[in-house]
Order: sequence, then structure tokens, then C-alpha cells
Amino acid sequence: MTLREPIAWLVTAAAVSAAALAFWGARGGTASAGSRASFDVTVVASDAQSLDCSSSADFGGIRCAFGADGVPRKVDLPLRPYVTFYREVVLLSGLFEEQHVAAWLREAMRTADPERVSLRCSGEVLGRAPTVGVRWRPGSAFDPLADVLAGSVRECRFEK
Amino acid sequence: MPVAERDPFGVEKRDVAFETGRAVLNDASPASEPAPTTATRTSPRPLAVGAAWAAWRDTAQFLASPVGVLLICMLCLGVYLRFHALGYPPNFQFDEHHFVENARNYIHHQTDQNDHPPLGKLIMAFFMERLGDGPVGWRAAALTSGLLTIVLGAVAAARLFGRREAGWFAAALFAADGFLISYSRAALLDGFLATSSVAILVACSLPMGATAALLAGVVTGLAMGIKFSGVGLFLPSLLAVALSPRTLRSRVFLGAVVIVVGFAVYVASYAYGLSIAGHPAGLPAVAADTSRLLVHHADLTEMKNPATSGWITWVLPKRPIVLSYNVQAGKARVVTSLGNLAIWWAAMAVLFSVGAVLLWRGVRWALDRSAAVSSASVAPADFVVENGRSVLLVLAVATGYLAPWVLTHRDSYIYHFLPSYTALVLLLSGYVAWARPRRPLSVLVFAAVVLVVAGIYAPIWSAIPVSPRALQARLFLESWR
Repeated sequence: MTLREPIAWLVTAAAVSAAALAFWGARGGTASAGSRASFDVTVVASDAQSLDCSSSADFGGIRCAFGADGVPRKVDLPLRPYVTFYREVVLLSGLFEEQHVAAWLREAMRTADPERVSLRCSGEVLGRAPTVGVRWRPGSAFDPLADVLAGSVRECRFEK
Repeated sequence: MPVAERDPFGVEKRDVAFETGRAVLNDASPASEPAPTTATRTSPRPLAVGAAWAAWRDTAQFLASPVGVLLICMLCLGVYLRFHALGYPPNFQFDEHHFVENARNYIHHQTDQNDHPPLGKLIMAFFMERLGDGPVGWRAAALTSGLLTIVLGAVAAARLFGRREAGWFAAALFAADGFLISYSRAALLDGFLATSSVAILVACSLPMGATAALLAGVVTGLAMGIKFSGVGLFLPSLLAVALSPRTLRSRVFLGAVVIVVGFAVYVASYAYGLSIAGHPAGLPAVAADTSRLLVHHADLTEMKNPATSGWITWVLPKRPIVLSYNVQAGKARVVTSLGNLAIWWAAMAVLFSVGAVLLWRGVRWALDRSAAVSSASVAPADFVVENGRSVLLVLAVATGYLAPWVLTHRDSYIYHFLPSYTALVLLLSGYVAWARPRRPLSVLVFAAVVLVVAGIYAPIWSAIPVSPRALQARLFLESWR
């Protein structure tokens, strides 16, 4: 063994550690409860009556309109399932109640406008629901999903 | 078998070329015509077995060394990043719709509306028919091509530079580069051209004869069948023929083989595409459609698309393309084509220093192996002296693929640089492997830096969720976002 061999292994160990640290370090701190977030989703007016979820998850009183057993319950701004631009399912509270969306919804319902619109919304992360059932039509069965992000919406703008 | 000298890191300085039974002592240019040794002629089997055993032993020793461990880490990381979440995003990223939708057209025997020859989309259609018309099916061809680039790149580097280490360096550097990773996970055509860059160098590393000329012609024809810029591969193919120690008549014949086979393969692949779509598929039809596409491309000179970038800016690079961008719910999932900056800038440094040497001393000097080289020197001039033919071949690939963007005003994008860049990374691999016995610690530090940079950028080469702040820190130039 030469004098330089330990140095070489030291360099190697440091590089592998630094690379691993950089790789895993970048992944931390994403979507923690309370952090601000953007939610980009597409909806049609009929979704306001169609989308529902069932879960035992409760985020400070914000929850699905159906319990884990599928029994309906009274919730002011219930979580509802939406599909993002990237086809990921998220549970959002207050989307159809947001002022711009609510105004669009009233007009779309009045004119029976079937057009799908894209929304870029900001809000905050509530947490993740470990298990949840989602449905896209009233009365249909809940499809089970796991580890779904939940959030509340503050403001939305329409994507052109 | 000579007693091998060992460097301070325990790796033998003697290298064994990939050609069976050919031992090379710091060989200067093993890609030149192989001259069988006396031992090979008299007792081929014992020497072949002995050489194979020595090769395995040397490889094991190399991979167990510090730099070998770093290269293995790069390889593992690179392969993981190519496979990870290949189906993400589930919708089209960047220009994928152009190629996927026309691959679908071929599947349904409909007209290709795309402005490139059919072959790339036919390859994608082949995978989509077997793996399904979904995101994994769309990108499986690119993934296969990307893995092939690593393997063929390693073979080409080892053969051209006469060192197995060059092969390992090439494999690791290709694996750990974001430009190549991102195009291995996208249903785009440029990854195929990157594969053609290393495939042509494998062909050029063979002893030039009918087989090598045929192979070079096939690779060139296939590259042209993917994109017209593949025509640039005639440059290294014909250079390899010109540099072979054959009679003029033989070289002219082999050059003709390359050209005829190249165009025959192009026409055949094009005609196949036309016939699938139900169009006339004879030579006149191929010529007419080729002409139509060439006229279309000649008109694309406005450089108005914000993603365009002039070829000179590719040195930095100024405007890598973000293939997929989704910042959602406090996390970002991004695929950028930004390369590994440690590899990128090192490759540029080698290109400019080697290019300066060639401009100053000339090509004839580069091929004259009579100059003495210090065993301690890492000067680019000495690298060129020892590897002149191989350096010229690799630069010919880079030049051939770069020429259309330098010589015309056609709109250019960073991905047009991918096949040239692939060749330059291979050149870097050759230089690093050549320099390693002379400066082992420097090479080790270089490999370490490459791995660390790969670790930093890995998440945004492969759509791994990161925080928006981490994304911003990595894409620190505004033009990169």
C-alpha cells in the first residue's frame, strides 16, 4: 500500500457520500403540511355535483363528505378529488367556492356550458390521506386510492 | 507475459486491447490495422485463454480500485435514472406528440405527418405495438437506445483508445450525463442519433475491410433514416476508409461500398415507411418525399421559437430544454436536458485543446507516430500523438453531426448537439483513460466531481420530486428554466 492509496479511498468515500447527500437532500421538505402549494387542475361545471371522496382522514375539520364507511356527513367545505394537469389525483377543499371559480360555475350552470376549463390554484398543503375512496359520478362506487395529497384552495385563475 | 508495472492505485499500467489475444503495452493506436503477433500465429488458443484471464483479472482489479468504484456508482446511478418513473409524465413531454402520434399513424397504416424520415417513428411503433400505446411504450425505444449507447460507447472507446479503462470511463460518463439520460427517457429521435454516433465509431474501430465498410454504411443509412443530419456519418466512415493502410483502389472500392450501402439502407427504410402508410414506395417516391422534406427544413430559418439556440451557445450550454416541468403542491417534478456540467465542460476543454493542437500541427502530424511522448505528460499534443487516428475519427463524428448547423441558418436547438456531444464525451473518456496512469489522483478527483454533480442533478434528470427551492438552485441560470 502506498501513501496515496488511503487518500484515494478517502476521496472516493467523500464523493459517494456527497453525491448521496445531494441526491436525497433535494427530495426532503416537499409538500409538508402547512406549506404553500400550487394545484393545477381541470374541471367541468358538473364536477361541482359529481366529485366526492370517502375517508377517515381529518385535517383540522377539513375532510371528505363521506366517512370511511361510506356514510355521508355534514362538512362545510368538503374535500373533493380532482385530477391535475399531470393526471395525479389530489383532494382539494374550497375549489368551487373560490370566488373566481364560483362566478364561472354560476354562469356555466346557467348556460349549461359543458366546456372543460383549466385552473391554476394556490393554497396550502393539508397533508396526505393514507387511504381514500374517490368517485367521479354521484351514486357510483368509491375507488380506493392510497397516500393522496390533500390541500385547501385560496385563489384560482383560469389557464388560457 | 511481461511483468506488469503497477501504478500507486494498484492498477496495471499494461493495457490489453479488446481484440482477442492482442496485448498492448500502453498502446498508441490499437484501432489501426491489427498485426497478429508471432505468439498468436503459433499458439493462438493458450494465448487467447491467457489473455482473456488477464483481461478479467485486470478488469476486476480496476473496478475494485477507488476510481473503479466511482465509475460503478455512476453506472448504477445512470441506469437507475433511465428506468426510474419512465412512464412519468403520463402525458406527452416536449415534442413527443410529433413522434408518438406518427408512430401511431404507422401502426394504423396512415400517413406520417412528421417532417423527418420514417425510421425513428417506425422503431417507436415497434415498441409501442409490443408494450402498449402508453408512456412506457412510447419511451421504450429511447430507453433501449440509451442503454445501447452506453454499451456501444464503451466498446468504441476501449477499441479506439486501446484501453479497457477508456471503455469503463465512457460507459460511466455516458451513464452519468443528464443530456443522455433525459433523451433516454423521452419519445424523441435524437437519442437514436446519439447511439449512431457510438455505433459508427465501433464500425470505424474494426480493421477496415468489406465488413467494416458494410457496417459503416448500414449505420450511416440508419442514421439518415432517422434524421437527415445522419448524413454527417459519411465523414467518419470515409475518413476511416481513407486512413486504412490499403491500396488506393481498395480504398476507393470500400468508400463506394460505404456510400452505396448507406443510401441503399436509407432508401429501403424510407420505402418501408411509405409502403406501410399505403403510399407508392419506389425510388422515385422516396426521392420526391425526401426532396419535399428538405425544402421544408430549408425554410425553417427564423429562430423565433424561444427554445432555439445557436450552435456556438452549445459550448456553455446556454439554453438546455426542459422536457417536462411540473411544479405542483409544493414539489417539482422536472426532466431537463441539461448535461452533467463536469462532463460537459471537461469535454469542451478537451475538444478545444485537441482542436488547437490539430490546427497548429496539422492532421498529417497527428497521424505521424514517430514523435516521442513523455510517459509523464498529460499534454493534449501528446494525447494526439499517441491516438491520432482515433482522435480524428471521433472528431469527424462530432463535426459531421455539427456541420448542418454551422453551415446553414436552419433553426437549431440544443438537441441537435446531442450526437456530437456523445462523440465528445467519448473523446473525453479516451483522454481521461490515457491520462490516468500519469495523473491518477487528478483523474480520481475528476471522477469524484462527476459523480457529485450527477448526484446533485439526478433528481431533475429523472422527474424525481424535489422542492422548488432545490430546483431553483440546480437550474441557477434563468435560461435553463
